[in-house]
Amino acid sequence: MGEQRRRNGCLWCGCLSAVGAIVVVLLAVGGVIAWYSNLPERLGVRTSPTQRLLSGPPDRQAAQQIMDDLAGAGMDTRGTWVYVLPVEGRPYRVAYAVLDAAEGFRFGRGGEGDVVLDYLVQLASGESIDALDIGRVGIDYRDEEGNPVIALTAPTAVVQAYARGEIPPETLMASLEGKLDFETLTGRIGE
Amino acid sequence: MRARRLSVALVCLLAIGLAACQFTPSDREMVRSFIEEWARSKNMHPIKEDGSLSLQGIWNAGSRLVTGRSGDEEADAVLDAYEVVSNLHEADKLMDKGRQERDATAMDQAIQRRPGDWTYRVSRAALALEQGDWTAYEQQTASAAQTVGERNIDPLWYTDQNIRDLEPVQGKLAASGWPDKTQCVKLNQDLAAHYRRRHALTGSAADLAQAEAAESLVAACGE
Repeated sequence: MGEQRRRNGCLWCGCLSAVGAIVVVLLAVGGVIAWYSNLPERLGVRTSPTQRLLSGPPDRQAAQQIMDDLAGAGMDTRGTWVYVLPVEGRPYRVAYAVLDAAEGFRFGRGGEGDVVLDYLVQLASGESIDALDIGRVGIDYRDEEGNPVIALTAPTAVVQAYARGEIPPETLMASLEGKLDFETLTGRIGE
Repeated sequence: MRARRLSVALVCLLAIGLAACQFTPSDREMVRSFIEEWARSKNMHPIKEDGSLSLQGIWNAGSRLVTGRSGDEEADAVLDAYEVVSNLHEADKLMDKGRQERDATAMDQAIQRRPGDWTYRVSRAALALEQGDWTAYEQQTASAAQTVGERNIDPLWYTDQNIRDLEPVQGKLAASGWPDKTQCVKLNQDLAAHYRRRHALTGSAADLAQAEAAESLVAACGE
């Protein structure tokens, strides 16, 4: 009887140990994933890359120059807001355009190429871009209700190389980084 | 055709959510086609071109979705820049209100939203000077100068901003007959220093004349 109890006890201990080990491994893996995700920033445990790198004051004069370049290139600038932001610790700045369909933004339809790439090319190829030390361009496209749809960014030099025909569109596409917005995704499903 | 529809739906779902399929009809097709192409070039498309499932694509899109990170810190910063820009937009509105209505509370709220924005602090210092709030004046002036020094801001930009904020205060106080001697001295000393700095940077004769005029006002303060 006593032997039986001892055997069950060992089995129970073994099961518990195995479950415990699995839980520890899962927690460790989850912790690593959480640490490398944006969860700590959402919880306020650490500052986001945006806060760390782009919290300096915008150059409003430079932004106006870029808007003038876009208008000069025949782009309709309705619903377009350009911001020129310094990048902390870098010798260049970012030109970031908010393209808001709710405020009248529409992609042009004249070209045969991809309208999204065409827009990035126009943004990165303006007359003032090099003089203004714009090292990276980005766009944030919002739908007719002002919801985020897609955000893209690429180094200015890569977009300019594409514009000059030095690299194929595939290389530019591979250099583009885009935003995957889980909140937008779940929000849309819920609607 | 079925596979294509499925792949578009999956890419919309995984990459940007169903929002991509909800805006203007003309833009919808263009953006949808761009997303497909882009997702394939990044190996984040869950469906291969031959219609079969891409496990690598599902894994890549899924991990991007879960982590919200691309692996490039600067790119991630720009992709989330709306976080800064929307805050900036709100802060700018508060600062505009503060500048127009000479409202210190609105300005302080703007500074709270963007503590690193030295242009706000320069404007707040000018208002503090106008209102005779010397503590706020010293604090904001020092903080702005420190940020400008640390971030290696263009000295011409800094000087321009100071002059732009101080000139209206000078006009207002001069019109009311300089009610306070300390105010008169501090304001005109500051303005003279900034005109001289701008003269040194640009060689503008007008700035030199303005500096001399402000210095003569300092001498006349309290008379």
